[in-house]
Amino acid sequence: MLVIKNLYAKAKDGKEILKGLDLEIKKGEIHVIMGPNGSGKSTLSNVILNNPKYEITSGEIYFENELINNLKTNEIAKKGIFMSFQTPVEVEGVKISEFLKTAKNSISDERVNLFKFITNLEENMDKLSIKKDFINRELNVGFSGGEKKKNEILQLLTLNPKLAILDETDSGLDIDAIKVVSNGINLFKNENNSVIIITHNAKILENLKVDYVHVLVNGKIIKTGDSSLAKEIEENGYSKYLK
Amino acid sequence: MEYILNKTPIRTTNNFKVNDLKLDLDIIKTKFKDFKTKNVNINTRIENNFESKIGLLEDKYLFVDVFNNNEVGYLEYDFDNDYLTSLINVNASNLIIIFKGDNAFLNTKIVINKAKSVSIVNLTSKDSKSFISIENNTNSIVNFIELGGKIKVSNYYSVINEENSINTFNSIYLGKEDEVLDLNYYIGFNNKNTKGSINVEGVLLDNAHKSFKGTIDFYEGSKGSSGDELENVVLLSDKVISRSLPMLLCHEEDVSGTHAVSKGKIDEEKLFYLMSRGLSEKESKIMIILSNFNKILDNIPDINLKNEIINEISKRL
Amino acid sequence: MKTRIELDDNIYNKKVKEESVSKIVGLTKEIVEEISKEKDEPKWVLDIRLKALDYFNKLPMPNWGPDLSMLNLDEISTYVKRGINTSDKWEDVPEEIKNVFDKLGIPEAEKKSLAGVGAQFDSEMVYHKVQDDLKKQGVIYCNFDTAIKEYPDLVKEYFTKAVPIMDHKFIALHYALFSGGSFVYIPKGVHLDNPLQSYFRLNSKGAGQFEHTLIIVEEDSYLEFIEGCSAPGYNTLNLHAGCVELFVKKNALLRFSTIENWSKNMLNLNTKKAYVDENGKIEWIMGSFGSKISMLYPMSILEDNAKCEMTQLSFAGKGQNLDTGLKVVCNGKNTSTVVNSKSISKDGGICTFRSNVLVNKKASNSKLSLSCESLMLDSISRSDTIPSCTILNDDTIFSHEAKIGKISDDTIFYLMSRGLSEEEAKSIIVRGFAEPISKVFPVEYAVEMNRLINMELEGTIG
Repeated sequence: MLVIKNLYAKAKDGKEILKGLDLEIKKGEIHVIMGPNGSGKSTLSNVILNNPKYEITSGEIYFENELINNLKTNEIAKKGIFMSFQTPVEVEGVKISEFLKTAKNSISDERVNLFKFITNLEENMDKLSIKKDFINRELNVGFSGGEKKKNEILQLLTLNPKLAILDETDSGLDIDAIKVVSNGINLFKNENNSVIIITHNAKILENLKVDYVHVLVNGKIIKTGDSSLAKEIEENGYSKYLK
Repeated sequence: MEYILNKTPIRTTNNFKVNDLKLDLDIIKTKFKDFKTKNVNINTRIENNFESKIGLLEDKYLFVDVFNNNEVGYLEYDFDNDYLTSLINVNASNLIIIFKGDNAFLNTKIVINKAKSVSIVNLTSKDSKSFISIENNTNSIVNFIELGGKIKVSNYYSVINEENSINTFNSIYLGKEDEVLDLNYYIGFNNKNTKGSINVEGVLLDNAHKSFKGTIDFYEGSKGSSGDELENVVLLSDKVISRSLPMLLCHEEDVSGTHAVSKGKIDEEKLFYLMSRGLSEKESKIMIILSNFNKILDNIPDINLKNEIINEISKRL
Repeated sequence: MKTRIELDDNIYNKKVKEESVSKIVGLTKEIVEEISKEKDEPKWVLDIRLKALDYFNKLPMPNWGPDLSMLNLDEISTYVKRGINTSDKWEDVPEEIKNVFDKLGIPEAEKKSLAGVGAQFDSEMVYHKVQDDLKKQGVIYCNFDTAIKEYPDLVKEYFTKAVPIMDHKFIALHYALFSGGSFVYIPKGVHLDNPLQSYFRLNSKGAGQFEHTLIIVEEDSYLEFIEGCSAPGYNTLNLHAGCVELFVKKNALLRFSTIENWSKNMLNLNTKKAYVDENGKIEWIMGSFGSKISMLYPMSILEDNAKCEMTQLSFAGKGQNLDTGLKVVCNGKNTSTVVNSKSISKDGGICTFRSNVLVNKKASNSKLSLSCESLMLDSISRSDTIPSCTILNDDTIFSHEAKIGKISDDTIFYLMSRGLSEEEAKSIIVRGFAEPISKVFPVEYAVEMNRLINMELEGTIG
């Protein structure tokens, strides 16, 4: 589904962050990327979505066999990649319902049936125990950490992408947030879609069936293993990889 | 002769008289007197035919060049019943300029070419008239304490031309009896990622008449810059006249600018709290006002001078 | 764009064939006398016109604000008469004019939700209607010219009392040439559940419009009044120098909403003033989209416990200079003023917020809070905030905040990561920015406003 080959990328201000990263995600898999601060975890998700703050210096990103390096962010989203944000931006005056409708219309080839859309949205809200009036609030404005997280997961379920990249670097210590995310992934996951979880805390993985764990250090994946690798890192830290 | 001073960079409706200050004045010619100095070298000479964009400088003036290194330098002018028209050029690291005296006539322009911080303290009093024009051509912090006498006119002008540089102007003013204060402060942003701020704290009592004009001006090309402007004034009498015109001009999309003005009487809850601890009303008020002033006074690199200013403010209140 | 409400953009450009129109170019005493004669006015009205003409000739052009030097008063036909009398039957309105108003949805709107509608075409009021039950309660809503004839005592008592004829050059011009406009009288204790609405439209090329609106809301009454203004796109400069005088009596509330979408060749120099008596309240709601230059600063004069609220949105595009704001004079104690202004500039458009606040000595315990936010969509545009404030007592609480915002790259990236195009993302952000203002507008205007915002943003992003 997603293939990344020998990827080098830097921030717009010049500092090289990813230095020859390789990664392959197949349909139906859950991958976890772990790594210490500054290893390039957040950069990776931003580069996949082509955030203009970053620049690919060399290497390729393929999604369903199509090169997506140079696509605009919204075109990548339309292909079926979703990224959750650590700190979702507050957009004043824009209601969640209005925003979701616009987004769903944008990524769908056909015009979305409003009735179906609303039914689906209400179902998802039920599953996440979100109150009805929540979608009349302004997008992320004044949200608590937990509410922001729920809103991201609600968007994930509603937009229903092929690949979800969940940047959970910050939520390692918040137990409620962890529950929301792992519950959300289980609701989302089926045999046809894939998930990448970016974290440095193994707690989030407890209720999930993880296929691969990758260790990202200094802009490169230096070890890949199964879920036991996450446990090992939780116990021993990254020190043995940092040399 | 009538002088029109402190013109605003953009004019607005004239019905509230904020655009400029009209004053009938006899400009007194330059008289030479030595500055008291510490830690600085100065050159002084009298020159003719100086052209000045702002301020009141006449054709003949005292020219003062100030140099120093890393220590705090002092330039002090003490002139009871005396007068001074001067142009002070600052090439120093940390400089304090003090004006003192009763019934003084002070007409000065201060041009800052190089400095880390410059503190200008106007302690003239009674019938004194002061005209202080400050031009900042570098990245220094300027602190201006305007206590002055009967008429106090001041302006600050700075355009930030260098990328990534910072310009800060802090000022405290006090007006009482029937004193006239006219303040016109301007910062222009002329390059990328610059920062500038105008912070003004004031107090007015009796029949004082104050006009504050502050301008934050983002030029085209000042991307990534941020500027803020704040005037906070406490009004202690219902006979004061307090005018404010805090302008925010913007010709660039990628900037952040804020300005805020707040005026009003002293916070009654604070007053009640202090009085419940045994302070008199007057002591409490002075304490509250000084607490507003403190964050600016803290920038003055000389504790003794700071205490002298606090004493002077308390005395005048 | 899928979220956009599809409407026919061209309805604002419908021009009616110009015919049977006697245009008078330039301004002399004779012209003023002729206008008065044609209207068959009493002498006291003519006297006001002539005195005003005198002031107009004497008063200087404003020496601040937008540059008005392109204005040549000799070239502007100052009065356009279409030989139409005001009607209260929609069927009597000439077909061509009706078509324009039909397109603009005026009669439909009336049927739906309005208590009364007035429509002014160029200088004359063509249609005025107020529901019968309101008439029975003593509500008057008619053409201002009619009011002079039918309610002379009321008009005499209030006319020119809020806005004096020598206030400034363009108000003097207005009083010399005023024609049409609305007169509204709400008697004591009448609460209008539905708004009254006036629609102004300039149709003739190079025409000026000098309508006078006078509204009196007596004690304990409530009125919502909506003004809509538009003109088709001619190339000649048009001038609009209207005047609005509002009297809000004790415990009364007046909500005055204006949507201006003049064509981009209009000089809109409008003067509005409200006297608010004890415990009364004025609510100004203003949306400015059109015109080449606007200078508009509604003034509120507040007595004891009176309140003023203003909600304002300006959107300046290419070639537009929208200089708007307000004036407030606090005369009585315990007054309260809350101002919320937002502006959007793009393509070299200039938005200026200009305010003048005066708190008099008697106005103790006054509270004023002003907040301005501007959004710049590019760096060739301008956005200036020029607030002046004079306080003459010691227990006023005044605060003014201003903020320049831009559309942050992070926000655009966030929205694009959810599938929105850059254009859609910008448009949704701008509409969100305008949301707190557009939500206080009547619903059909809010829809219209979103449409205007989308129209303005269309094609601006590469």
